[in-house]
Amino acid sequence: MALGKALGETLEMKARVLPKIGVVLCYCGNELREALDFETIERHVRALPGVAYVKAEAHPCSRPGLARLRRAISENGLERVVIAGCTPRIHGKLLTEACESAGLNKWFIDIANIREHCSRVHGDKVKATEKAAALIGVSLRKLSVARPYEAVRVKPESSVLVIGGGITGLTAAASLAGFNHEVTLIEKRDRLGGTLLKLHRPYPHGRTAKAIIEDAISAINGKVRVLTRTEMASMSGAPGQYLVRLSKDGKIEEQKFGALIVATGAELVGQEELLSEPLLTGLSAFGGRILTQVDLEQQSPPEKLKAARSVLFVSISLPESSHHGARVYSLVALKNATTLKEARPDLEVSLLFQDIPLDLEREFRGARDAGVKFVRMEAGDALGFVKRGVELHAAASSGRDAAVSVDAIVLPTLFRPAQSSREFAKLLRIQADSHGFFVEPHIKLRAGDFAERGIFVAGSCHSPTTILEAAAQAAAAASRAAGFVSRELFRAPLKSIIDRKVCRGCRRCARACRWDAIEMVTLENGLELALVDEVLCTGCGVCSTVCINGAPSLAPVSQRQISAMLEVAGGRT
Amino acid sequence: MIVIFTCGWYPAIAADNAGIIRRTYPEDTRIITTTCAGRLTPSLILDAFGSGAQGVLVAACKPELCHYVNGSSTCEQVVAETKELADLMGIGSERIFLETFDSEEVTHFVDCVSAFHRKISEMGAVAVQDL
Repeated sequence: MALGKALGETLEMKARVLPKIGVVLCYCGNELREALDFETIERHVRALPGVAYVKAEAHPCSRPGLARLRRAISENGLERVVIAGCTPRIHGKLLTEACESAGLNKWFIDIANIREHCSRVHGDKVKATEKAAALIGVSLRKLSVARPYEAVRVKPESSVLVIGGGITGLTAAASLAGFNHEVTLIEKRDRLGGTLLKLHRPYPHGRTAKAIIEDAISAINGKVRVLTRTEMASMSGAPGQYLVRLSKDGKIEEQKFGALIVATGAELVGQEELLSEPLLTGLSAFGGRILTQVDLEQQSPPEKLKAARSVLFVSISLPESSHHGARVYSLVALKNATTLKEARPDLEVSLLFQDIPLDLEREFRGARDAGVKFVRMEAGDALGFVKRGVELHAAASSGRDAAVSVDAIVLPTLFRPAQSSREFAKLLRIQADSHGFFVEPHIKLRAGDFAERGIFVAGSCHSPTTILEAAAQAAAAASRAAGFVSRELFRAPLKSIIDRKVCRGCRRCARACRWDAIEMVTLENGLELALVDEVLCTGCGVCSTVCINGAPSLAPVSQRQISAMLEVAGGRT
Repeated sequence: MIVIFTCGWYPAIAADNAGIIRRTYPEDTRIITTTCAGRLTPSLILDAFGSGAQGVLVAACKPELCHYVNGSSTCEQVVAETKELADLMGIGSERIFLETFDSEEVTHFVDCVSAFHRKISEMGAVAVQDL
């Protein structure tokens, strides 16, 4: 803070003089020199106000190039640097760090993208040259009114909260305890174990569910603080310093955590709800001869199948429903069909399927070799349930009807997020998809990363998983969380600054702020003012768009800088 | 001249990718990258016209992919309000165009810029000269 203030003062002292700006033009080997006329660019840039140094060279991003850049800054007393070359996404960090090591503030450096935004997207050399010079001009304007900012450093709390006492939560807590982090595990029911408590021999068959849970519980015994019948009531604070209120039997307890692992799992969709699915209408005629996969888990072979001679496993997705996870229900159906056929070889077991995920090839072959019959259903086909069997009415194109006579039906195992998952997502400031499963902003580019840094999600609350997948995700989340709380956090000084002299206390910004970073304070004279919490603020700038007085300005790139850029970007000179 | 505001997340990557795979679009375009499209205010968008731009293209993220969660939807509201202002000022709301992009939508980005440029060229200069 003291440094920022000192820098601010020096800036104000020099406010009347334009800062000395250096411009480094990059040939990018020879690519840009072929596409653009650098003599014209250099002549044009030299004539711009504030430019004290212009140098064109082949590789400013090379080690000698970076050394020359540092030397140029110190020898010429440059106060701002514009580097014109490729997109900042490629070498921005490298070049910025080089300039910082020469004593410049990070926000006094700008990269004009004359490659991806100019030479490579335009064919006409003369026009492209003109545009490149203009882009450098825009960057110069941006820097001429720039202010210095320092990164915000945060030391995270080393403790981690694991939400959910299923197999995912238990595995994550055990790994974190193994890294010597202080771990608290909360479970809203009064027993640990989650969905696994309902199962007997989960895939892969090696061990019983009971043994798996007992092992997982003994792994955390004494190392993790376990709170059952406990829910999270609220969360405030920022990544690294979350303040969480836990409610146990109505009593509230406040605790600080550096990171959170969310492993709240999913719920099994009940039989009644499955029977109300449009695709399965008419199925209720089977009455007592309808089983769920859980029935098969608890008794093998189950009582209900005693008199049956044939059974059909329905393993199809239900389009109207909010249930996910073809991998899981296919796997469960294949596993249970195989186990049942092995236990009762006289029973005719068939499996109705639409699609079996490719990676379940082995399980598919296993079921087929055991003697399970497969009936394929195409998309658009309709099912008709009659007294003693199922009729498959093919859609017009595929044109093949089929009928299977069966005594009993086994429904698919479908999962749905817990009822309150959407509210919970809001509480955690993460996103949930249309079904209520928690989703990352981009499944491919940012897998496992959530909009809120410091919150990690694993297991079936993200999408239905098998035990093996849940354990792998839990270990991954635990290692990410451990890494997160072990390092000092650097945050770019992205924040909103509300001008006290301009703010009229209308509360528009406080209402618009999604991060609850704006608080209203009442002054002695009764007037209200908006105050930004710098730790919570993400610098998105939404407050500046709703303010009718223009009080909020953003750091590190202010509204004024963008206006300055626009003064030359429009093309009128 | 067209000013293109790109959000620094996905649309900026789409714009960079256009360069990486060398797709071409008209030269009289200036890309200005901001932290989030949600920070654009009506005054910033209208400033572009003040400096001689004939069109403003705002490239925001898909609302469901917004890094700041409500940035893209805020941008939508702001652009709608700015269009009303532009009509009142005689600039014309059709000179402001909002589109959302994912990072891999390079073709969409290039097509969008080219089509908007064509439309603005046909419309000619802004009727109101001194903003």
